[in-house]
Amino acid sequence: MLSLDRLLSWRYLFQRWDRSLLIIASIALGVATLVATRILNQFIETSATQTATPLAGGDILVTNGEFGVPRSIADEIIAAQIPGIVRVLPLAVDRVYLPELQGKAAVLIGVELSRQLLEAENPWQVQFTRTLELTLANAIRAANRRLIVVSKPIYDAWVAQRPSDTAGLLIRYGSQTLDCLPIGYMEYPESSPVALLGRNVIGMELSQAARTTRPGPPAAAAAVVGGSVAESAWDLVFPIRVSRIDVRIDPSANRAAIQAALQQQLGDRAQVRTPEEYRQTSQEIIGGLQIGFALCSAGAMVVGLFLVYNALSVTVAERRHDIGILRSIGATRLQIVRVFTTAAVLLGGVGAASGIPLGIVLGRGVLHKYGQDLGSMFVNPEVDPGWPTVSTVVLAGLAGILTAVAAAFIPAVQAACEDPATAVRRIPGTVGGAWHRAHQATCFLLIAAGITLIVVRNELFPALGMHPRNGSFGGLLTALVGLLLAAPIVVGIMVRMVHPVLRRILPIEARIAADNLIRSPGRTGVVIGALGAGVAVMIQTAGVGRSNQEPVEQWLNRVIHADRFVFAGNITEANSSQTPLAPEILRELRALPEVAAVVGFRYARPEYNSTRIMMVALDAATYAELSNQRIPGQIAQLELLPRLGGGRVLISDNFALKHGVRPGESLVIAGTEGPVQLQVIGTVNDYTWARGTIFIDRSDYARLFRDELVDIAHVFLRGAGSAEESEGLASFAADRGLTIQGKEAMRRLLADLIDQFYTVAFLQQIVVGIVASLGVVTALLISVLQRKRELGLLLAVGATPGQILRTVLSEALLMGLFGTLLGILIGIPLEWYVLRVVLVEESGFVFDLLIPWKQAAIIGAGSMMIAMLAGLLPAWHAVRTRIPDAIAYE
Amino acid sequence: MIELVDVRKIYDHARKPVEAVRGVSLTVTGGEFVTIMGPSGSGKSTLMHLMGALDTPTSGQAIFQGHDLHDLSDTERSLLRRNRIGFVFQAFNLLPTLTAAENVALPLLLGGHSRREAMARATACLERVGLVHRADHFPEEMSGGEMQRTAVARALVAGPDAVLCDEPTGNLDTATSREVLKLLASLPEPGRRVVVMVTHDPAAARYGTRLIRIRDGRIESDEPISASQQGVYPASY
Repeated sequence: MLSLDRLLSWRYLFQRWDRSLLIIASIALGVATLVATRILNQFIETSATQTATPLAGGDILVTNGEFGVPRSIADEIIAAQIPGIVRVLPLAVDRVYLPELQGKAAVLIGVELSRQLLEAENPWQVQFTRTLELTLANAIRAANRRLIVVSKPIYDAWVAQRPSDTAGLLIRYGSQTLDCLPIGYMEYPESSPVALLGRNVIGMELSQAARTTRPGPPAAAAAVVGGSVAESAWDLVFPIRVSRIDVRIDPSANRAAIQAALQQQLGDRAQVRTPEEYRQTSQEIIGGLQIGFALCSAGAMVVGLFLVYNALSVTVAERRHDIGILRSIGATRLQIVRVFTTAAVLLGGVGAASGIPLGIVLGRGVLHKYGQDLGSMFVNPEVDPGWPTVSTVVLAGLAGILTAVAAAFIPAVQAACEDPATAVRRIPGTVGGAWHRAHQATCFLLIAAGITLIVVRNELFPALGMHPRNGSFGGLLTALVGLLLAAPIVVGIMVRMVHPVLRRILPIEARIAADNLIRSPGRTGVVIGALGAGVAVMIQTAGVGRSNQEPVEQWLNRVIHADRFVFAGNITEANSSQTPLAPEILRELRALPEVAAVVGFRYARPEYNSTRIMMVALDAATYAELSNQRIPGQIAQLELLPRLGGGRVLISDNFALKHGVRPGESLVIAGTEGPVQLQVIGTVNDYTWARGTIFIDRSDYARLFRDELVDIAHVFLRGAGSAEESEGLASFAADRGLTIQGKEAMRRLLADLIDQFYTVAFLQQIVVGIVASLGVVTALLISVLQRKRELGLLLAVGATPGQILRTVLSEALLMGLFGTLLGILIGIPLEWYVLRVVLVEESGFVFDLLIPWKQAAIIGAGSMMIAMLAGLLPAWHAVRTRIPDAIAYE
Repeated sequence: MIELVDVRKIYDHARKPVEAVRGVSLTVTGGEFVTIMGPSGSGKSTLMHLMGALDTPTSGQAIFQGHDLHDLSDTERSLLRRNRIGFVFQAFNLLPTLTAAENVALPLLLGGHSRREAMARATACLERVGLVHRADHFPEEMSGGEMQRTAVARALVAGPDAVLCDEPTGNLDTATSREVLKLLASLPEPGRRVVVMVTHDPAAARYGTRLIRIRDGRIESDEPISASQQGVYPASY
């Protein structure tokens, strides 16, 4: 049968290579978007999982989220001797920097070295090589240094650059620098959980690591009473906290029972979770973004599907006579279906094969461009865009082939239903009423199903164990597919409405083009629908961006009004609490002569209501006073800030909406040693975090959550804040390796971060636009083919090639015009839906709908321009028509 | 071989239903070369489609080798056309993307024969119609007569019991028409193969052994053609 396929399908595809190429390109772009978004999602998921549960090797995790758990709980668990528990592993993990190695970032792992890394049972498959002998000289070298084990790349770099054999290795965590001494290096295979943290890993004794990331006594206290005494006293007040305690159990033991016993043992001092339960909170945060990405790629595939359907439908129409011949010499209906399905499989396969590498380039390109900012948000700083997994490649291949096959299905069945007697005699075929009714019913059902999914999302999806956002996004996609399918009907109505006017005002070439649109809404409608879909999603994104931009910019201007901002690392790292400052930095800053006041900000992301919320700790009274002086009357509810303290907090409007908490009510957050009850005294307008923000006074936060660190210092200068006036501040920051930014630069940095998100979204939509443009080329090529006789006749009766060219280009322009109109008609309601339903559901942020007229005009002009350009190739084909051939053509 | 019993065919695609065949009954037996004549729109092509299982009657019976076409499934009718019936059309109806040999081999390839066997039999058929030298040529590289002879070869390749021709000389000049008609006249095999040819050309009709005249969907006359008249072209033709 292969030879038959080769004869009937493949050869035809080669002969119509231009159309085949367009179909392949449509599929390839759809597949490329799919692969690129899978790579993005894969990266985000892996990074978020590593950040939430780095080195997750335990069967049960004991945590208090970001605040950590007292190390003593590990000993308590061991002492409780709960049957089934075989190992208890406390762990501290955080990001540090290596100033001597070009400021390279590394992951610091605090472990009980004897238990975890050096024992025979080595859970992380780490191979340790000692390089420091136990000699007196080395003992002297180790004095006042922290002993560490480093990964081989760090070890090699350290050995290569150290000034002398006695030199140590400096580690920087936020604003503090530690002198450490590597005693050896570790190597680990790709399969090791450590490998997921990247190539730069440092192992340190647990207590020392915990004290590095959750610092000991203030430097001043240490200087007065001596380091070790201060540390011992500090330990009594603030016990050592670790990031997490992993509990390993016997494989035959009942995990749920042990989990319950552990929770009972620990009460509310820590949360006992399975790794899967723990990851759900990070998954909740990235889920919306991932679904958004996935839907965008699905959108590209759906647009591609309709265009392939369109091209194959016309192929069937064009080959109708061939089908008649085949049927008359004995081809069965199944064989006819096979002819078209085989062609679709071939085109889909080639499209997928081309789309996969393109998707890899796109995905990795985006990650390389935004890698630094993305990497700053996660514990593993090494942005490894990775390669698509086998499942992604298989999925992409199947998606390409199945899209083509799905697109070919209806045309193939229509071909098989051809009556051989009429087809072979070239009697015009008629699309049966049954097809029309099925088409209308399918459109209606899809749109109705989409709306139903949206309406019942809050009841249906939780009952199925899924997040309601699956309903919002899935329903939207289903309704859009229905609308796209209904495009020929909608376009038919639109064109008929304006046709009488067009006939009156347009020149003959454009009138012929308009007539042609009316004559074949099935062919042009799908393409206009695809163009409309591209325009609609772009207008929606532009509209959502515009609706956000103004209020977010106003908010940024309100909250960023200090003269200088001091932090370690970059702004993303500071906002992600990856590079905290020691509290004494604030005191030193305040002591500078040009500084009038300093407000410290600390960010934490504790769990609340099965997600991670933001907690912003600030020097509330000082901030309120300074805001009153600098921007009087601009920050609402400012009078509430001085009342913070004593467990009283403010919440953001979106927190109140998302979690249903009102002023006067209280909420409970897991603290380092148990639940912390907070009293809500008011709400404020804030866009810091999509899951809601709690504002707490910093001293209250330090007391309740045992955390004195600061992520960013807002510095208010005495004078006007010119560069000359803040020279002392600049040299202070430079001495300590800190970053200093002015007000405008800071606002710009944050605005750029927001813009980056929209850039990625626009990139995906541009791909959808390109796929739609390819559809215009296909549709017009087909139009030229179908109208060959008519165009030949026009030439025969004296039409000039220029007139023929204008006719085809007019059709392209009209398709672009109707596509744009359709896109605006769908795009604005879509913007409303995303803004007032999806965004509110995801983040609780409520924005007013602003229609992006300016962007819509640009997008519309772009769409028509693309349609015109797409019309050039078919127009050229039309001009080259040989009159005798065209007139003889049936 | 072929039997039509009170066959009617009504087309209802148009606004007003058209009755193309109105109660036709006839029998064609092995070895006959039946020509069907009639003016345009008389229903002759429809009649041939009914005989060749390309279409089914609205009422009445169309029987091929004892099988009522109404009782056969679409697939069974396809198999019948593939293995027992060969068609020759006025417009040749060759697939433009296939060579002459591939066009001829097509019914066999559709039937699952190996390419080698199909091409060997196709070449033999092309030899029979005198076109083996054109085996690798595409339809656009051949003359009208060559294309029609290729179509005849395709009709013969499966060894059919009936060869049905719809205006096979309609697109050909006189000399080429003669060649094709002679070829068709050589095809009937007594007791086995029949040839049915629809034509509006009286000269072409004389190549048959029996002439059926049809008008307005009804048989006007059905008479044998005497041996003396067979294949005699008027001088003016």
